[in-house]
Amino acid sequence: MTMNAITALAHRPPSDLSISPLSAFSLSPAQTAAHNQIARILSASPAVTLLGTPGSGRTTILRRLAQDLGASYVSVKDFLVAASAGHPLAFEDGFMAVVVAAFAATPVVVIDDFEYLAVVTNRNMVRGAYLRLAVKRAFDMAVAESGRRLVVTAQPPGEGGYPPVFDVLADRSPIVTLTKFCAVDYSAILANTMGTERVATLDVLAIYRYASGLNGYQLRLVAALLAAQPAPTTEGVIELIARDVLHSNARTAEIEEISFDRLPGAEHMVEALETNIVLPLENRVLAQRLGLKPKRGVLLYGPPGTGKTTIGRALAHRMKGKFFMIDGSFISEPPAAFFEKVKAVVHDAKENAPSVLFIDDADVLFRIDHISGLVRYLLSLLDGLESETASNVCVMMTAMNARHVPEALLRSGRVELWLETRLPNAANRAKILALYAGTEMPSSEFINYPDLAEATDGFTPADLRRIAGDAKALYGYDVALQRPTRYATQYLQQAVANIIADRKRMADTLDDDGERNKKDGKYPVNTESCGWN
Amino acid sequence: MMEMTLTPTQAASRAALLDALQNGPLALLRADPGAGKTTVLHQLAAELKATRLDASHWLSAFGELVQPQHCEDAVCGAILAALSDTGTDTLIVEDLDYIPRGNFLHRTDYIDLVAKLATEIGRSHPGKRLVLSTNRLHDLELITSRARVVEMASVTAADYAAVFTNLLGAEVTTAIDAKLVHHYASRLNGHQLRLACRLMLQTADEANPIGTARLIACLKAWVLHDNTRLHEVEPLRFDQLPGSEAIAGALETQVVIPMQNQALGLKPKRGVLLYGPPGSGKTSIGRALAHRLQGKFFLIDGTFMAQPSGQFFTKIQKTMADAIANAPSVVFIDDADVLFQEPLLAGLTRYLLSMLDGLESETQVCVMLTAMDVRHVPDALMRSGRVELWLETPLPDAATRARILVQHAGDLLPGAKAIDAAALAALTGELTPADLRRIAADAHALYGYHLAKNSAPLSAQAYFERAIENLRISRRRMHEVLEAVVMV
Repeated sequence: MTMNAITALAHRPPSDLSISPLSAFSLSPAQTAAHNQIARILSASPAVTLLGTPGSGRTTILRRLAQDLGASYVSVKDFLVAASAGHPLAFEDGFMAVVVAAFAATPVVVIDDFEYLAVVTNRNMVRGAYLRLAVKRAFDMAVAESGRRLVVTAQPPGEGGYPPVFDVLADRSPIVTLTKFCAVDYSAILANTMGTERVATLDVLAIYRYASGLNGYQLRLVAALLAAQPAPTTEGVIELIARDVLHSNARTAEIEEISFDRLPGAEHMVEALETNIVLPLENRVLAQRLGLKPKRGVLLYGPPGTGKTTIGRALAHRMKGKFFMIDGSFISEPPAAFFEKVKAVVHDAKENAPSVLFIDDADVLFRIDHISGLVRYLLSLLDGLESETASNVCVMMTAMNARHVPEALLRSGRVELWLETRLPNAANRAKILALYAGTEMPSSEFINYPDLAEATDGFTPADLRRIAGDAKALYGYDVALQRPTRYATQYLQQAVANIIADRKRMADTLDDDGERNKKDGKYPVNTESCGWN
Repeated sequence: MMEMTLTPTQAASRAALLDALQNGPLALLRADPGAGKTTVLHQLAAELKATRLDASHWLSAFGELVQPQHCEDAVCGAILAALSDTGTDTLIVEDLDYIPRGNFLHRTDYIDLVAKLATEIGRSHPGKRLVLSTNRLHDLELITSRARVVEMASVTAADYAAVFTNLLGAEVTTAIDAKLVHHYASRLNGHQLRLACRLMLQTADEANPIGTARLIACLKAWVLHDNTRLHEVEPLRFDQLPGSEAIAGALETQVVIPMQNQALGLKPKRGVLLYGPPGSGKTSIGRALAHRLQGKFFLIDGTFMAQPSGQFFTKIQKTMADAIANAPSVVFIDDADVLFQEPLLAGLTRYLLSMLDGLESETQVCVMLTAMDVRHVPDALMRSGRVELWLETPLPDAATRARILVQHAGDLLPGAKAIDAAALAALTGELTPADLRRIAADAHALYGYHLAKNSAPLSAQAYFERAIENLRISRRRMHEVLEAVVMV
């Protein structure tokens, strides 16, 4: 950029000097607190940095400040306009020119969206650290004349800490961080769009308890969606949030729809889950009155096929928008990529707390070497000193072999509910077969379930489901070939015989290692209650 | 700023620079941001009638460039032009570390040529002197190997006193005990001191007059920052932790009071070990301490683990550096035994040992470790004598258990007020405070379940008993699983 270009820019005031009036738009309590803190600091410091996540209201606060102080408000738009006037490699000169112009126009300069600049220029190979110089200069300009002030806002740093350019400001001036919204902030932000009277008809505390991590954009979306409704109820708002606003990482459309009452033999477990997970999450009135929180940790353990993942599926549908999943698909090289994914999910689970974080096959996941830090990470996150939000996230793990779940995790006390999925007994085997066999096959009403249950001793619910499916396939085959059909019981018996033959072949092929986990060749059968209630 | 008198440390740097210039053409001043480099160099420039170049000069030189890639040339040109100026013998170049440098793709280390040039001014420009200043020496090897490097020493109480006099005038300064302020926060830079002083003047009123206490309050509220996000730390006070009285007392005496009551000249303990079974309240004590020591509490825990080991150490180093900068302060290493067992972190012990030793000299950083199993904290660390205070969080006795149960029982369950805590305490032998808290939560959950299902509610006592039984069943399960580990 030539001197002339800079001079030209310097005479052009920042585009947004004419800020739309904000008076109708009131700041929420959290925003007011940050605003007041900045105002106080600015009375004594030449500069201040405001950190806030997207949607926390940084721009709203900044525009309010700019209005109050008669400041120049500059944002990404101004940087882009300035940069486009110069050489493509001279992007930062555009920033400098904007700041120089802004200080020429007003003693107070407010810079929004700074993190975008930091990111764009971070990899500048040609003029490394040029932005540092520009920021240093901007700070020096603020110091140079009494009455000048520089306000910068950006997103809080990620795990890697601040980009180096922030140090320039952090070494010299205070940083104000916007805190998370509380229920009162929800009220204020909703009221901005909906009006105070309509918000007053809602139980905002209940909404906040249901979804405590909504940001300003999401709240405005809620308000906009409600605009069409004449008299929204609290329940309706919560439903709307679950349907249209919250997003879990579990794609429920991809998960088989299954409900708790389709889990014969797991009634005791369902009851434990209802008491400890579902009730605190769903019955907001009771949860609020009694201060109920979901259990912090649940371990579902038992042999393969006994229904651990099925329970997870049922929960995923029940807890729509509140169910977050970590499974084998997360594993990747390098470890950093894995942790990025885990952190993102955990972050979302916290944002949507109270919520469920479901770690499928935890025994396998935790034994993978290159991500061995996972256990420590989870433990600190969930139980560490800074776990106030995370204490509302229920971590549910499944394991075939509970012995392979790291001891540190089990001993920590985090796992509060131990639920063992066992092989179904004869009565439950009959119920499960009946559930899946259905009524399509001939003489379904006369199926001899007691005998079938007898023949399927040691079978898992998954096996039984497969038997029902196989029997239907056999029946369908006969129908398709227009052969005479047999009775339902016969198809089922044949399916059982097939599966037993399959198993035998498999056992003959593999060595006996696979059987090691069984005691006396059999898994324990469910004969007693699980101990809850 | 220019009329300010130099602090003793700044004056010493000025003298060292003058001395360096007596003996050679090139001197380099290194100090942290806010230490007063510019103040020192302004004074030097006035005395030696020197020319000054700084960040603003680079930027205006860049403005003349047609090709932005040429920014090193602009810096070179500005320095050469100033050196050729016959009017001055001494050139002062500030903000050396802010000069943008081309990266590896483009004229690698071109700026080093400038450095080389600078080092040869003795020959190329006889009689000329060059003074440089920078925040960090990183990447300046070409210069540091040839220049006399003057490192500004760390600030002392006397420097604080001088800054206060500059900012507040001699009269107001008499109300402030610089030694106490320095004891409370020993590494404040000029920007921070200025901010604190201004805030003190603004916020002082009759109840909180200008003085040491007000100044420290301003530092605490506005200036000092630890790495702990207090809003994520459950608000706890020591008096809400029945059974922790002895530990709280020891921590108050050995850590908190020495940190906060500067007048006594006490030093906090260097190393504190907090050990006890899971759930016995180690982390709760940490939480209470974090709130107690707001702004002075630095946390290292397992969340540091979720990154490659290289970054892990960078993060620990940064935390340690921040703790030192805010000394006296506490570094709280939660679940240290677990962290030390992590094979990727084998270097952690060595690192901590050297940190603790380094801290011995003058910095007042207390390193506090929590551990479930002391045997997993490396011997070297335990035996070194660096852990000076051993505090055990024991399992609560029956009376303490009863107190904890009453505290958590609340008044929502039917008959909660009439609960027989002693009888429940008898049922909860060996259980931890965390267990008891959980039992109370479970009792509420059971009651809630009955309400939701419209079943007849039981008494608070009965809910507690069932919750205890449920916990026992869970524990039995856990032991079955864990004992199986031994059998395999």
